[in-house]
Amino acid sequence: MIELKDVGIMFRLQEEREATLKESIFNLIRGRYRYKDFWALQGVSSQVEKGETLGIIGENGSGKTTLLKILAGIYQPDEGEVSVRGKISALLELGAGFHEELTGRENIYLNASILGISREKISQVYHRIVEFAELERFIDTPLKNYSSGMKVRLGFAIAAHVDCDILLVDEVLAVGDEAFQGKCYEKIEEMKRRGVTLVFVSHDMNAVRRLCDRVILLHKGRLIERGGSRQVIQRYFLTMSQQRGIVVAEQKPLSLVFHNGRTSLYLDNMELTRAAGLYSSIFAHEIWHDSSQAIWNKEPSPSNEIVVRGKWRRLPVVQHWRLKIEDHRTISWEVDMECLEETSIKEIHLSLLLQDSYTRWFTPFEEGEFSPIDATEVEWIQLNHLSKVGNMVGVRGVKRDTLRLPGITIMLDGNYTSFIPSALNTDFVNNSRVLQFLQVNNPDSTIYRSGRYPIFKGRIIIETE
Amino acid sequence: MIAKIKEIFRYKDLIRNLVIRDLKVKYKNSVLGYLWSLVDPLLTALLFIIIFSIIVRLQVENYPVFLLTALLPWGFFQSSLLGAVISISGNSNLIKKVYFPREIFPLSAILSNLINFCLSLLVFVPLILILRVKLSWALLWLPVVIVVQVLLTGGLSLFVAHLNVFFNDIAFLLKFALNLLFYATPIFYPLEMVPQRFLGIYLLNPMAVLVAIYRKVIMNLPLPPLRFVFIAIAISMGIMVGGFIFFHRRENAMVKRV
Repeated sequence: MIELKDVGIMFRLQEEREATLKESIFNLIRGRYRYKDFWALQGVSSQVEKGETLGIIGENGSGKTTLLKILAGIYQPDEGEVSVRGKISALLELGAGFHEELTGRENIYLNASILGISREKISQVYHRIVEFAELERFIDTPLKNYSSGMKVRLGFAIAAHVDCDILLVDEVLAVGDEAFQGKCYEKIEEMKRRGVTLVFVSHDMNAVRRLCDRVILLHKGRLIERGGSRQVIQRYFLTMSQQRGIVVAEQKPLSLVFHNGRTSLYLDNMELTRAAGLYSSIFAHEIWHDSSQAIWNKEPSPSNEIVVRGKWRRLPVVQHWRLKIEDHRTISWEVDMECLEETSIKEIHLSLLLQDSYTRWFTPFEEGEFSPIDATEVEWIQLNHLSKVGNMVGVRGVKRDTLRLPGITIMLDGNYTSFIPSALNTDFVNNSRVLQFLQVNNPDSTIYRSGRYPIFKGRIIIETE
Repeated sequence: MIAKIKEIFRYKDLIRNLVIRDLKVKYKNSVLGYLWSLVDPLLTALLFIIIFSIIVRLQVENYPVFLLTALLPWGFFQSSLLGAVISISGNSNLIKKVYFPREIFPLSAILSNLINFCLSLLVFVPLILILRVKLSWALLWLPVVIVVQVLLTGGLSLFVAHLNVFFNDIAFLLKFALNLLFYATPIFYPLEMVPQRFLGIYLLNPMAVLVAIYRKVIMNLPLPPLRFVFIAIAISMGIMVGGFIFFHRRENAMVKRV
């Protein structure tokens, strides 16, 4: 269906960006017409069979979008060969070519014609587009009165209802509200079932994992890894580690990847965590402030340790994390909290989000099943009784033919008994199992004076065989 | 080239939509709407009538019609080129995001102006009847002249639209060049006023010949020597083919730069 052979593409970057004729002529006369050749892609080979889904991942500027644009026919490669057989629909940007002065209806026809679809064909699916975008009432309103969410819905609805053999999707699902995102993924999966070949570029590793059969990883314009999503995604995190905000600790068979306040945990090449992984959250001023919204800085540490410091964006609070792989089955986690000024904090939790393949949880006093998370669940559900608390919570290992997940336990250090362990299910978007330690402060003792407090110390034990 | 033309044809709905969009946006927010497109040439004509038939006293029969036969095609030529020159660079966002034949942008700029032009010709007919110009069978050649002008404009559009991506002062240069060309075309003066010894060079300007032909088919004024007519047609076709090939060859570099 799609074949790429040693594909390369070069861009000429001019040293002075604003080129006017006058400048170019001057430069020509002075013999100073300098270019810098920049190979955005080089030596990329891959192929995608009919009905397959290929994920393209890589950091910003690695050439993902350029590759997608080559597939879409927007750029011709300067080296190598590209062959694409089949009708392409590309979602490189939602609603490219929308016109603000025209109504939603007029824009559907305009946009479809940009995608090369005839008027008759689009008329046939017109009602389905409007229905999918949920814009029945606004379809004759000029686009300038639409909210950005409405435009996004309209754009996706059009591209998704185009009859095509190959769908190219670039990061567009990151926009829009969560309910509509879910609808988009459903639509994409339905297209997959119909045998549409999909090429998918994303930074959202959960989406890549969910949609892609195979993944390629680009780094500085070169393909550096290909294979199953699990293996390539891990390599991605390892390559990204030099970048700001990412720290990796490794000691076989465990590895930890810290990324802006979220930490993923791997056993060999298998990720045990999901979504935010290991993270922390603070309840103050009536809302939760996640560690993923903090600004994190790395501090020097040995190769089996992660030492980071994160400043919460809307709170005068800094957390110091120290995650250390102690041995082949133990990770210690220490958290200090530093208040830069007097602050009122009602609750703090530290959580570990795990794969939803885990089925059983336990505390020292009770044990139970994780109930399935269905697509209507928007709340996190507490599973154990908070009256009987100990100092640990865990999940049992899972063994199936295709899947072996180790049991995981978090044990709280004896000096930090203000935290209550619990097991939870997340909402359907995160779709994970949670091991959590929660501290609820008395209403009359929520004030933290400025200073640094050690607040948490615990061990995560992975039952490797 | 034939494959390309076929492909462009496949996107006929896009061309139509772009043209409609152009026209709609142009007229939607003004009360006079379409009439505005007539006001411009009529005002210019009025100005020239005041200057050249009252002040300078050019001896030309039926000067209003004489002026309009040139001003309308010239307006078509000028606004097409000015629209086309920014049609690629102004749509960079779309060009970088979706694939389709990029010739469509300059092409639709010309088409929307062509429609405008044809409509203004329609308004022009009653005027001719009122002012009692003798029409002749030569009028049937009108579509042919228009086609030649479209070829000329189209070819030039492809060149300027492409170049403007690389040098963003092409648009200014074009305005200047059009100003010069306006005076090098027999718009407000008759062709006969051009000295005989310059005529050979003067008529190499295809617009000069085209304007003369428009006057032939509408007002039955004499044509320039036939060989110049053929040269003008050949130049127009050559520019179209050249522009097309040039645009196509350099398309990839252009898309990367836009």
